[in-house]
Amino acid sequence: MKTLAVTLWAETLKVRKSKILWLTMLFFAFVAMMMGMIVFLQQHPELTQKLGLIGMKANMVGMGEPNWKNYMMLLTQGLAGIGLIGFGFITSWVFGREYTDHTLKDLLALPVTRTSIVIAKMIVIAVWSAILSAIFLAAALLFGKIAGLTGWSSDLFFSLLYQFAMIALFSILLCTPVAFFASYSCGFLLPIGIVIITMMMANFSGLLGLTAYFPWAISGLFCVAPGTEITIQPVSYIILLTTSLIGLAGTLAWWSYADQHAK
Amino acid sequence: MIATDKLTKRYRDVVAVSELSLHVRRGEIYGFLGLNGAGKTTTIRMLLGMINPNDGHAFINGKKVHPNNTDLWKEIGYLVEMPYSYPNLTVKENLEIVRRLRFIDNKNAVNEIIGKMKLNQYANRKAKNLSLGNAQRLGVAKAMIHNPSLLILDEPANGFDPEGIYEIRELLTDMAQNQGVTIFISSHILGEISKFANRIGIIHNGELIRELDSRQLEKLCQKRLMLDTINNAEAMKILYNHGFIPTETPSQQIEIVDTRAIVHPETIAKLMVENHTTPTMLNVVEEDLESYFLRTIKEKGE
Repeated sequence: MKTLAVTLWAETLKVRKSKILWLTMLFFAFVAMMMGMIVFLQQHPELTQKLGLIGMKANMVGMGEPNWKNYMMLLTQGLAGIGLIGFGFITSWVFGREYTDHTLKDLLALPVTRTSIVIAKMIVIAVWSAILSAIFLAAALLFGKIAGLTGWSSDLFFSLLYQFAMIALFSILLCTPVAFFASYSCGFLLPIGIVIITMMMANFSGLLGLTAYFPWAISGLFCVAPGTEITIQPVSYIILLTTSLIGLAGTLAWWSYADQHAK
Repeated sequence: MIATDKLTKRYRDVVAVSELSLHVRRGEIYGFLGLNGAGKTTTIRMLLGMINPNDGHAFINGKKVHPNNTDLWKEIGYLVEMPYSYPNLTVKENLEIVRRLRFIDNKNAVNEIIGKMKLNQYANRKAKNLSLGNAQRLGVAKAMIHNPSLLILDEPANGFDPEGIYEIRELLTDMAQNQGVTIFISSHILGEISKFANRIGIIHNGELIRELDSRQLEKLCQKRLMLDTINNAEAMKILYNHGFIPTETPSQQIEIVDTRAIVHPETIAKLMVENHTTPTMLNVVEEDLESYFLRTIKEKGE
């Protein structure tokens, strides 16, 4: 336990002192603001022409009648998208930076186990991702309020909160394979590439009707409107959890047993 | 303190380290010499559990080296190749991370090592803003913060200016002589190693081709007599006629490796004067470690 405590302290310090932490917070708040702007423009169609591309994009989103219910649906879709990309990016950074900053070798022959270092990194990624999700939600609600949306209810809010928590949790669980590829490739590029490819494949799986079976598409099922044909299956949870565990086991095995040549 | 038994690492067809068996005794400064790509860093990484050997074993303090043998690493400080630190953290923060990860209870350990490595004025400077020499000092500080009983250092002199190299040499010598710290050090500055290592191992193409102590080295380093005269061509003939085998160096001097000439250079001077080829220079030169090292690996290659 003491081992995990010190590794967690070290990993937290590295993240706290990095610019990436603040940049990701700003990015998530910015995306929330853009969503607020979309709904605001839908309420004020006369502005869309003046704003050119942004106005056109707002029209294309087609969220239906601009109210809290539809806005919240849009937010869950937003989190499902930037969650996978954003959390995947921070995972790439947390693991990949040890290679690009050439600091990995200093972590390999210490009185703390390599397993505890990997676990500490995973915990930091999970907490960081949860904070980003909370920032996204808080900012989006604030912009929704500013936009003057109608139809708010506490039931609606708690339903959104549940969906948000599940999407965030699912996206966080899918960070472990990214961690493996960051460790395997000794850097950022491959894991970020993997994140982009999985996003594309998630969209493609929808076309094939395999959304409930492709790990990176499953979180999207929390965004679909009630009564939609495609729903999450019990096996979806198993697939997602298995993918996460394989990613974790692969990362732990890589750190523990692979030859470490990092400069 | 360190023992390896036929330690071997292969990468497909390339043998990086081949059946390396070396022994480093407690309190010893062991210089590990080799050209680039000879297998020094691979050996050091195997000693630190970073690379798994294909065959053979490494032992430190009688315990088998294994990545998850965390107790083993408590007593070991190390520096592998160029030292790097977290660029956005200060010198103090980088050392505080090491202090905690090494479970050092003494909270003043960071300040003490900062003082020892003369990093006081840079304590609050971010690592990314340090000069190469100070970044190297920080690397050495991280390796020494826990007062290890064994230091494994891979090219620690890289990046240091001559004054820094001298300081590190004095520090390591003091640690070995007064605190009984065992030091395993590789360096490409071969002359530097000869100044303070008790024993030297030479690795070439992954094989340990020679292991010797510093006194043996003195004996093994060849001596030769360098001679320059007013007429070197004539001098060479005279030397041949008297049973010597002189050779001409690229700088057009005469070199004699015959012990008779080296022990009694005055006889050569007398011989030259008597034959009207007056010497203008007569000097007994001792081979330094670098020359010995190059000669040894050349002999091995042949």
